[in-house]
Amino acid sequence: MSPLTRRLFRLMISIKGQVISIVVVMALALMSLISTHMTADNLENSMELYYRETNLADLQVELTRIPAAAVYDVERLPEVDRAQGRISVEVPFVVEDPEERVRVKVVSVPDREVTINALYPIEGRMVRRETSSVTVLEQFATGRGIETGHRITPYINGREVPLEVSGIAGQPEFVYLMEDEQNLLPDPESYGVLFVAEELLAGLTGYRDSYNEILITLNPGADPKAVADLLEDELDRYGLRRVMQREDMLSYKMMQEELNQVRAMSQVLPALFMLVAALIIYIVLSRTVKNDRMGIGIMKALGYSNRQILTHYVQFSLLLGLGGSVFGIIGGTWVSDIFTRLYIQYMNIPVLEMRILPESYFLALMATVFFCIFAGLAGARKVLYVQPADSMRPEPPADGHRLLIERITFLWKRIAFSWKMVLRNLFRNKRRYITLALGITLTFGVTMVAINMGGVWQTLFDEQYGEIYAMDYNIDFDGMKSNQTLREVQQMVRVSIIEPRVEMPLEIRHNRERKSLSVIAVQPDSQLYNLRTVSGEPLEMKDGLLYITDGLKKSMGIQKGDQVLVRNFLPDRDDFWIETGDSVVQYLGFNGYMTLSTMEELVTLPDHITGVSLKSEDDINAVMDDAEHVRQVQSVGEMREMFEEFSELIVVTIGILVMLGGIIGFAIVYNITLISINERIMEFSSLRVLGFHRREIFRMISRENALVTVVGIILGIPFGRMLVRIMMEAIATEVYAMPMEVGALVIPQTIVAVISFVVIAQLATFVKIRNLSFIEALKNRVT
Amino acid sequence: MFGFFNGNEKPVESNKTSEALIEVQGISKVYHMGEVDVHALKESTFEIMEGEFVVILGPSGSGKSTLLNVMGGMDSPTSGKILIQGEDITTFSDRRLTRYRRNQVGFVFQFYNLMANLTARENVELATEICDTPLPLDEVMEKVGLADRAGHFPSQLSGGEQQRVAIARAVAKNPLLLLCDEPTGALDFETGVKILSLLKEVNVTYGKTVIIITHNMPVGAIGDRVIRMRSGEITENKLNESPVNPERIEW
Repeated sequence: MSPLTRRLFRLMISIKGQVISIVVVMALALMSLISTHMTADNLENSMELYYRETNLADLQVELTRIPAAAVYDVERLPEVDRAQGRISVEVPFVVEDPEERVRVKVVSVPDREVTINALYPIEGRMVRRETSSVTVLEQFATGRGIETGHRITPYINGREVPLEVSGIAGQPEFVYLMEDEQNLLPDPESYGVLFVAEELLAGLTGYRDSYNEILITLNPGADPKAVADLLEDELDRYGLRRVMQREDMLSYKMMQEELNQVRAMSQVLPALFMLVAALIIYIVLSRTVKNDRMGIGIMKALGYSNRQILTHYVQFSLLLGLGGSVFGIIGGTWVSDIFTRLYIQYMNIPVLEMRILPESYFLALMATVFFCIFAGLAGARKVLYVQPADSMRPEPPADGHRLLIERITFLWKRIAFSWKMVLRNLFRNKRRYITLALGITLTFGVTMVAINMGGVWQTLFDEQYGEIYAMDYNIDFDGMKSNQTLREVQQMVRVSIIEPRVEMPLEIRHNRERKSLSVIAVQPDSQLYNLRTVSGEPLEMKDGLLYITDGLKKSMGIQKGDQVLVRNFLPDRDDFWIETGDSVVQYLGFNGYMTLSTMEELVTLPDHITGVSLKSEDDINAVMDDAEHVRQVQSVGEMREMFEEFSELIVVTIGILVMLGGIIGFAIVYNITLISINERIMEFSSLRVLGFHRREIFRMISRENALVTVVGIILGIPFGRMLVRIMMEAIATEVYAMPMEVGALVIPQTIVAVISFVVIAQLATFVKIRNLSFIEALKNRVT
Repeated sequence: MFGFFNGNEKPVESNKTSEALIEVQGISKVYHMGEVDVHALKESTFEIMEGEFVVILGPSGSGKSTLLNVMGGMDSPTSGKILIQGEDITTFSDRRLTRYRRNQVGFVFQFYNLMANLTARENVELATEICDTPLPLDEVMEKVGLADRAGHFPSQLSGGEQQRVAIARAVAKNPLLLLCDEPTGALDFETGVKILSLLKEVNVTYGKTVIIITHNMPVGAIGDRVIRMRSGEITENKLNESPVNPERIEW
C-alpha cells in the first residue's frame, strides 16, 4: 500500500464520525434507489409474466348477446389471434347474515384447453365441465374464508344454485378486484368472482350457444385501437355495450397506476438523497482540502502532480461511496424484500416473488461512482490552485474590516460584548456559516417532505370524505327510478339533507384517448357535493358542461373548453359531444360531474334518478335492507375506511422512504457542524489560553449556530414547500390527486425536528470542546 | 552519532566542480498586495557550481525564501531566467515543473512540514515512491540515524528528529540539489549544529549541491559560497576559501 493510500485511511479514521455519517447517507440513498427500483422491476416483471402465462385478453367486448358462430367470425379477422366467448352475470350471493349484501360476478369457463384470461390454480381442481362445482377467485375465498370442499350458493336468475368449491384460483382480469368504476376500492368480502362451467351458466341464464362477452387476443403488431374501432362497427347489431382495451380494464389500469407510483418514487426520492449525499461529500472534501493545504504543498514540493493529488482526494470520496454501496446493496435488498412481501400480501399476483436483480446493483454502483467522482472532483478542485510555496507559510489572516452593523453605532453600542463577538464571527466567516445555513435549509426541506408525507393521507381522507363529499350515505337504486323515489326514501328515514343524483358509467373520448368513468349528476347548488376547482374556489356548475377531475384531464390532455365525445352504454341512446368546464379537485378516484338537467337532457329520462345522497344519523343500511329497488347503500365512513386500508401499502412504502429522509436530514446538520468545529480547534485553543471557560466558548458557538439555524429555517420554509410540490406531483396519478399545500402543523413540526437535530449536533460540539487539549493543538505545525 | 558522520576535526573536503549547475539571470519577483507592489526580488543574478555547499544569508524579508522557492520550482518569478544545467525552468510547463521538483530537487523546511498521519519511514517513502532513481530507503534512514525511530509518527519525535526525517525525505529522492529553508530555525543550538553537519555530510558523501538559506550569520562560515541578500537584492556573492566544519561554529 502506498504511503498516500495509508495516509488516506488514517485521515478517514481521524474523522470517523463524519465518515460514518456520510457512509450512512450514501447507504440510505442507495437503499432507497435499489429497493424502489428492484420492487418496481419485480412488480413489472411478475405482472408481465402473469399476464403472459394466463394469456390476458388484449380486448374485452361487452354486448347483449352474440351467437357462438359470430365469435368465430371475430376470430377470423386478420388482426385477431383468438377470440373466446363467455357468459358473465352479476348476481347476489347467499350468505347467512340477512343484513349483509354480497354480490358475485359469475363467469363461464370454456371446456376447451386453451383459454384467454386463464385461471391460475392456487389450490384444488379448476372447474371445466362439471356442472356442480365452482372455482372461486382467491381474494373472495380469502375475504369470506371459503375453502375447497365448501358449498356456496349464488342466486342466479331467481334460483339458488348450490355448488361445491373444487378449487381456488387467480385470474389476471381480477388482480385488483373492483366491482366497477364507481367502487374504486376492492372489498373482497362483499364482492367476488366465481368461475363455473359454460354449460351450467348457459343453462341457468338462457345463453345457449351464445355469449355476452368476448375476450380477444391480437396478433403481434396489431393496433388494439384500430381493432376496437372496427369491432364497434361490426358488433353493433349484437347490442354492443363497449369494447375495452387493456388500459380500460379496471384491474390492469389500477396495477399500472400502482407501478407508476413506485416508479415515480424510485426516481424522485433516491435522486434527492443521492444529491444530498454528494453535497455532504463535497462539503467535507472541500473543507478537508482547505485544511490540508500544507499537505498538498508538501506533495507538490515533492513532485506529485495535480492529477495524483486530485486522485488522492477523489479516492476518499470513492471509498466513502463504495463503503456506502456495500451497506446500500445489503440494506436495499432487505428493504426491497419487505416491499415485495407487502405487495405479495396486498396484490394478487401469484407469480410475484422477490428476485435479486443485478441490474439494480449495477445502477446503484454506477450512480455511486458518478456522484462520488463528481463530488470528489468538485470538492478537491482547489488542489489545482494551491501554490506549493504559499502553502508552506501559514495562511495570512483574513482581511479585517468593520461590519455594516458596526457602523450603525446607535445599534452596535446596545449589543452586549459577547453577542458582538458572535456577530463578528458570523460575518467574518461568511462562507462557513452560509454552508451551515444552507445545510439546515436542505435538512429542513427533506424533513418537511418527510413530515408532510406522514400527515398527507389524513388530510386527503378528511378533505375527500367530509369536505368534498359531505354526505353520510349514497343510496344506489337498481336502475333509473322516478323522482318520486326520493320522497319514498325520505319517508323511510330521518334525514337532514337529501339530494337526488344520477350516476352513469360513460366513456369519454378526446382525440385518440378514451376513458370509461362514472359521471355523477347533481343539483347545481348541491350541499352534499362540495366540488371545488383546482384553485380552491367552489365550483359553480353550469348546464351543458362536463366537469372532470384534474388528474384525468391531464392524462387525457383535455383543456377547459375542449369538446369531448361521450359514449353511453345504454342501448338506445346516442353518443354526444359536450364541452368541458373547469377541472375539479378530487383526491381519490376520478369522476365526471354535470348538472342533473344536463344529464336528463343528454343521457337519461327526465325526472329520473339512479340514487340519492343524504345526511342522516340513522343506520341507513339496516333501514334500507328490505327496501325494494335498492342496489346498494354506501356509507361514506365505510368508504373512507376502505380507502385507508387500501392506501396502507403506499403509506408504508412512503413511510420507509421518509424515515430515510429524516436520518439524512440529521446527517447533514451533524456533518456540517462537526466540520466547522474541527476547523476551529486552533481558535478554541487560543480562547482557552486567554482564559475563556469551556462554558463560555460553548455558549458563543451555540449563539452562532442559533442565529444560523434561524436563517436556515427561514430559507427552508419555501424550499420545503417546493420539494413537497415536486414530490406530490411525482406521486399523483389519475386515481390519487395529492394536495400540493402543506398541512397547517407541518411547518411547526419540521421546525421542532430541525432544532432537535441541531441540538444533538451541538452536543457533539460540546464533547469536542470538553476534550480539547489546547496545548496539543497549539504546539506543532505539522499536517 | 548520525551513522555516517564521524564528527572529528578532519577538514571537510569540497567536491565542487567548475561547471555552473544553476545560473540565475536577472530574476525579479513582485507581489501585488492590493494597491501596493512588493518587490521581493530585484534583478538578482548569480551562479552556483555543481557540488557546492551554498549559504544564502539575509535578514527576514530580504527575499531569500522567495529566491529558494523560485529556484525549486515552487513559485514563478515575475521576470528573469533560471537555468538548471542549461535549461530555463521559468519556461517549464506545469507538468515539466512537477517533474523537475520530483526528480531534481529535495526540499528541507524550517518547520519540517511532515505529514502528521504518516510514520517517519512513510514520510520518506512518500517522496521515493514517485521519483525515478531513489536511494535505498533503509540506507538513508540508517544514515540520518533514524533506523530505530522509523515507525514513529512525527508527534512522537523531537524537533531534531523531525528535521532529520525531512532531510532523509529530501536526500532519498537522490536529487541534483537540496534546498533548505532555515533548516535550523526551529531547533536549539546543539541540534542545529548536528543538522548542519548532516547536510554537509550529504554534500560530501553524495556530491549533492546544497543550498541553505538562513538569517543566522555564523552559519555563513560553513559554506563554499556565501551569498548575502538585503531587500530583495544580492549584496555580496563570494567564494569561501576555507569553509569550517559545522561543529566549530557558534551562535
